[in-house]
Amino acid sequence: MHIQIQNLTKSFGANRVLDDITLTVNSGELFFLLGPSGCGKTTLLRAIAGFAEPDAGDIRFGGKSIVSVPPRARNTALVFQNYAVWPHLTVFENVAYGLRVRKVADGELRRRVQAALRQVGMETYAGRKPATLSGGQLQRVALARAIVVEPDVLLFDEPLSNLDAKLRLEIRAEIKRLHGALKRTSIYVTHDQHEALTMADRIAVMRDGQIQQTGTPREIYECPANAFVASFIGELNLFPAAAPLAAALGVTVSDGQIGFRPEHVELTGSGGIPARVLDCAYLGAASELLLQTAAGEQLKARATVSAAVGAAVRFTVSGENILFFNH
Amino acid sequence: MKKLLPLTVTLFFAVFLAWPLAELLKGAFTDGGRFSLRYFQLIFDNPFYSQCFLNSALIAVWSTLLALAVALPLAWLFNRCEFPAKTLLNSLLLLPLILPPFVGAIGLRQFFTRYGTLNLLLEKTGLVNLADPPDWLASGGFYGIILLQALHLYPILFLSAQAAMANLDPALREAAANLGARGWRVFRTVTLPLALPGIFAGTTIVFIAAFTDLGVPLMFSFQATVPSQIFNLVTQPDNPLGYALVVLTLLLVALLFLLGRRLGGGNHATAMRGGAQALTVRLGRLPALLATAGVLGLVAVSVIPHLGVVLQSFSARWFMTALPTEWSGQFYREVFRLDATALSVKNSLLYSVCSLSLDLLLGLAIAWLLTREKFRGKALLDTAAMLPLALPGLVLAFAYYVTFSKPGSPLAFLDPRGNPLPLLVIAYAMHRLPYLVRAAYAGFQQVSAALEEASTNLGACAWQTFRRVSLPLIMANLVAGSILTFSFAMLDVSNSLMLAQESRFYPITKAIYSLMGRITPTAANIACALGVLALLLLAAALYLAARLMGQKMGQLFRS
Repeated sequence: MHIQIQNLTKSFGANRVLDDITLTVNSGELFFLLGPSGCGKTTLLRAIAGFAEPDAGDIRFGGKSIVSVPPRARNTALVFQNYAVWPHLTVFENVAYGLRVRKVADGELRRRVQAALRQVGMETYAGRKPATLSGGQLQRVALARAIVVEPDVLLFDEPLSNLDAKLRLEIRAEIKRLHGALKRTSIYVTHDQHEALTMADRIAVMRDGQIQQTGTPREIYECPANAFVASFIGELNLFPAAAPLAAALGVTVSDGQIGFRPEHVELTGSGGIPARVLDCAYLGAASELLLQTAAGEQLKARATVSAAVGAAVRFTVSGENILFFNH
Repeated sequence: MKKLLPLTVTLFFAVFLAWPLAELLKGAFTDGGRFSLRYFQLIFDNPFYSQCFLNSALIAVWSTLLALAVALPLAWLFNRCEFPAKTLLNSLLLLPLILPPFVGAIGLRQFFTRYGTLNLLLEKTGLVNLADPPDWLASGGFYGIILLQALHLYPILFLSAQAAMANLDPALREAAANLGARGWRVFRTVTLPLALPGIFAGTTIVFIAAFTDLGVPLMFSFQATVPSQIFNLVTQPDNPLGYALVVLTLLLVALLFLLGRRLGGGNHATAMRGGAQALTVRLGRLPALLATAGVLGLVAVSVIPHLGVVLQSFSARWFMTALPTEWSGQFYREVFRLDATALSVKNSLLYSVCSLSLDLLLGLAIAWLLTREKFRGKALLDTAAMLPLALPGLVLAFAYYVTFSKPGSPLAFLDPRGNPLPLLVIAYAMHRLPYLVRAAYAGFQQVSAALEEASTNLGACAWQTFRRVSLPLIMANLVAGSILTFSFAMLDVSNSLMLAQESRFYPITKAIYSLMGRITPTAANIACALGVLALLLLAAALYLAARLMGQKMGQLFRS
C-alpha cells in the first residue's frame, strides 16, 4: 500500500504538533519516523491510524483519501509502545480478536492464529493469560495480533522502548525478519537512531512538527541536510565556519557552520593541528577522546588507541569528511 | 450517540436534582410569589423547633466526639503497629458501618430500657432497684440515639484518619525522631497536625450524617429532632415550615462542607512516590493481646443492638427476664405469611433491582463520559454525579415529595401518592449513583485507552470494543458497585419512609417502621425477623462485594 501524506497540520491549542507535513511511503517499505520526544512523530502515526484528527491536509492510502474513514475501517494494525495486550483474554484470543471482528470462519481463524503465533515464536503460549508473560513475549503477541489480520499498513509506535537492551535487539531482529518475509508497508516511530539506522529502508527525521530530511539511512548519515539532523543521528563536532579551527582545517568559507564526526578525526604523528587530551573514555573497541586545541576549542575524536589525559596529540580531518551547514 | 449521551444525562440531573432543589428553595423563600424570610422567622420564634435544632445538634456533636474518641486511637494503632490478626480485625472494624442503625434501634431498646436486660442483670447484683430503675437511654432515647450513631459512624472516621496518617511522608516523622523527639511528641507535633485535614473531612461527614439521620429518632419515637419534624411535615406540602426546615438543614450541610473543604484543602504532606516505607512497630505479646481484645470488645459493643434484634426475632417469650425464656422460628414464617411483610420484601426487591438497573446505565454512561470524552461542562457533570453523596437523604426525599406531588405536574406518573414505584426507583438510584459512578470510573481509569484503541484499530466498532474489551475489564468493579448499590437500596430509610405512603407499596424499612408502631404483641418480633432477613441479605451481598473488590472496597466508602 502506497501512502501519501499531504500538507498535514495539527495543533493542540497553540502548540503546532504537525506543521505542514508532506511525505510519501512506498509500497512494501519499512519507513521510519525519527525524532526527539515532542517532535510530532507519534501524533503523525496516530493520525495515520485515525486516532488523531488532522486540522488540515490529506492522507491517502493507494491514492484514496482516508481522513474521513473511521479508524476501524482503515485496515491498519498498530503495535503499541505498552503492548496493549488485553489482560482478560488468552494469547490465542488476543491474536484471534481482529479475525473474529472480521467474522473469519472458525477453521481458517484457528489456522491463521496458529500461523501468526508460529511466526513470532509464541505457538506454545496460545492458552496462557498475558499476566504470565514477560515484556518481550507480550510484544511478540502484539506483533502476531497485528500481522494476523493482514493489514494494508503496519504501524509501530516505539514498540521496543519498554524492553531491556538484550530483548530490544532480539525483537528488533524479529521485526526486521517479519518485514522481510511479509513485505507489508510499515511505518515505525522511534527516537532511537540506532534502531532507525539498522532497520529502516528510509527515514524521515522530524523536529518541532516538521520534517527535516527524508532519505535512506546512508543518505541521512552521510549527507545530513542540516546541523540538527547531523547531530541527532550520530555524533557531530560543530563549529562556526569563521572559527580558527575551521581555518586550520583549510575551510575557506566564513559563513554558516562546519561539522565533522568523531570517527573522522585522524590522529597524526606529525603535522596536523596540535591539541591536548582532556579526557579519554574507554569504549571497548575504541576510545573516545575529548581534545582541546590551543585556541580552546573542544572536539570529540574516536581512536583505536587510547591516550593519557594531558598528553599532546596532533590531528586532522580530511576535506571530504567536513560537512557545511548554511544556517 | 456522542451528542445524545451527555444530553440524556444532563436532562436526568436537571429534572431529578436541579428542579426538586429549586422547588425546595422556592417554597422556603417565597411567600405569595414574593421573596420572604417569614418562614425562617416562624421557625426561630417557635421554641419547639429551636429545641429540635438544639437536640439534633447535640446528638451530632456527642456522636462525633464519641466516634472521634474511638477512631483516632484505632487509626494510630492500625497505622503504626503490627500484630497478628490485624487484617481481619481491620475489616471487622468496618462491620458497624454496614449494619443499619435503624434496625439496631429495636435491639438497643430491648437491652437498655427501664426493664431491659441490663437493669435486670444489675438488679441481681443489687446495684439497681427495680422499683425505680434508671433509664439508660434517657428521656425518649436521647442517649440511645447518640450511642447508635457513634457506633454506626466511627468506621468513617477510622477510615479517613487511617488514610490521612498513611499518606504522610514517613520522612517527616523520621526527621522529628532524628532531631530527638519521641513517640507521643512526634504524634502531637507532626502526625496529628498533618493528618488533621483528612480527619476533619471525616468529621464533617459524621456530623452531618448524625444530624440528618431519620431512622433512629423515628424508631425511638423521639419527636423533638429536625429529621423527625421534617418527616412529619412531608405530607403537608402546603405547609411552608417543612420547606424552611429542610432548607435550614441544607444550609447547615453546605456550610459544613465548605468549612471542611477549606480546612481540609491543604494536602501538602503526602508521601512522595517511591518514598521510604513507613516504619511500623511490632507489638510484644501482651500489648498485641490487649490491642486485639480491645478491638474485639469494640466490635462486640457495636453489634449489641443487632444482636438484640436477632434475639427478639426468635423469642416467643421475653418478659422481665435478661434473655428470652422461650424460643421460636414462627416469626420468620409469619414474615412470608403476612401480606404487609411479604409484599414489602417483594416491593423492596423490585424497587432495588429497578434502581440498580437505572444506576448501571447512568453510572456507566457518566463514568465513560468523564474518563473517555472531552466536552464542555465536564466538571459540572462530575459535581452533579457526586452531589447525591453530600445531600442528606432526607433533603432529597422531601424535595422529591413536594415537587412531584404538586397537582398539575406534567410528570403525573411520578406522584408518590399513587404507585410510588417510579419515584422511589429514581430516588434510590439518584442516592446511590455516586457509588456506581465511582466504581465504573475507577474501572475505566485502570483500563488504558490503548487497550480500546487496539480493538478499534483491528476493526471493532464502538459497541464491540465496549462489550469485548472495556466491559470485561471493568466487570469486577461494576459487580461490586452493583452489590453495594442494590443492598443500600434494600435498606434505604429516608426515601422509603417519606415517599411510600400506601401500605401495599411499602418497602422493607417502612414495613418495619409501621410494624413497630402496632400494638399487636408479636408485631415487634415480626419486625425483627424482617430486619434480620434484611441484615442477612446485606451481609451476603457485602461478602460477595468484598471478595470481588479485595482491598479496593474501602475506597468506595471514603469521602
